[in-house]
Amino acid sequence: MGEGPYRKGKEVRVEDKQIIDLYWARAETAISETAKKYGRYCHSIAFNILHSHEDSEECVNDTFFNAWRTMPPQRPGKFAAFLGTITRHLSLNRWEQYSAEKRGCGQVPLVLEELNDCIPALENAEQVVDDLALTELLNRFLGTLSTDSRKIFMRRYWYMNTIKEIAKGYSMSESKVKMSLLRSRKELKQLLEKEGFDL
Amino acid sequence: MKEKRLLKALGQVDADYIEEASPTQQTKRPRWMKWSVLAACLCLVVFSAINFLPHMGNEGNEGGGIPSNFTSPNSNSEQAILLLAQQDIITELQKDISDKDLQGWAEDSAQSISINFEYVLPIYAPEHITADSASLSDTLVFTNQYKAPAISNEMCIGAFTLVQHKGKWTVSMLEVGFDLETIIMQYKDTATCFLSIPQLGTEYGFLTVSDTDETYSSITHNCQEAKTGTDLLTLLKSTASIDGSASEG
Repeated sequence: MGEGPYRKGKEVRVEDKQIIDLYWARAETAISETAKKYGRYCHSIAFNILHSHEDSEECVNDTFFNAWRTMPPQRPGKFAAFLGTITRHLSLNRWEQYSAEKRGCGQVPLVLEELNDCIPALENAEQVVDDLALTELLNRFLGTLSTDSRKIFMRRYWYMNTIKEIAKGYSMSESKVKMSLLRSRKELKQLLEKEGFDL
Repeated sequence: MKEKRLLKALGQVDADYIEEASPTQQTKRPRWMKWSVLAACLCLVVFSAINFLPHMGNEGNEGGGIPSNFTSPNSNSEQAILLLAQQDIITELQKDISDKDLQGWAEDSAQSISINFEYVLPIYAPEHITADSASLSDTLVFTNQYKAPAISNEMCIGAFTLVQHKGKWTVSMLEVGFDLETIIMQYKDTATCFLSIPQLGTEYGFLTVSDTDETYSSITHNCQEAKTGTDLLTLLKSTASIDGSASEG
């Protein structure tokens, strides 16, 4: 042990662990190593949201800066997901700012339109759900999906890939991807309704 | 605003799900896999030909129609009742029913219409009901027809009825105004089979059979008083006796 509270045994890949160690040692090479390994991954997440290489680059740099500030004390078990989550959050914030300035672009407006299907029209909602409970519900919902449906759902609503990209990535037809997303959205709506959650 | 909140909340889900779907995790199928799939398909074709062609010859196919019990929804076990059609049948349906055929059912050329082939229901119907019939499931016969959700603009608008005509699957009917897809989702984990009950008019529903009883859930609500399989069987027996005495008279 002695690796910190966030370690999840074998789930930490050796390479990631070495990079995380660099952060903990406050070695500046931590950022260049992260950029080398996860720069493209983070850039693609930002680009799907912002549709601008310049803005995406800035979000990726901000991601690395955030990682530098949070490690230590954090020692993420899934380093890619940890970085991706920061990039997604920063990119969505920037997108929101742009959309307020009428400069919205990328997949977000389409994704939001689709997610509107999931919003239950509850006449007597029991509670306005807090963020933590909503995330917990989403985790439960994802756990009920088949692996394929879950991957497709996450690729669309987490990574904000286009339907075409998802179909190509998983070697399936675009209609099958659309169908899977439609079903998943309906199931999410049903779960939100069943639990009486208002958003 | 609510959907924006949902989108943001998704950002915090379990890291396992994020990594599982990562675009860097997707694997291209190796070339050999493509050939293996082709070889497996070829074996299936040969197997099907050996097993089913002799039967086709024996049936004689008098009158040009196909006997109602010829095509089982389950090619592996002809006796088993299925809720959803198996993949081999779905492949046949997909092969025979073209987008052009489906487009003929659209209201106008701007409406795109398709079938959700993942939820194809074999249609069973109660037949040969006698006073001795003990349970509804014993009277069921596969009608050689299927119901499947009709999709337009990513929404389910109703149901297609799929039948065989001259050896090819085709659409015989489109019923609109209800969301069959969502209904199937509600029943897919519990129901045993999908029923059409022509004796009661346009009546569809799901039958759930357990060790001790049978439950019928109508989706068209023509026979709300019939909840258990026994109730429905009693109702059908009385209908059958009325019909019988009427025809005798």
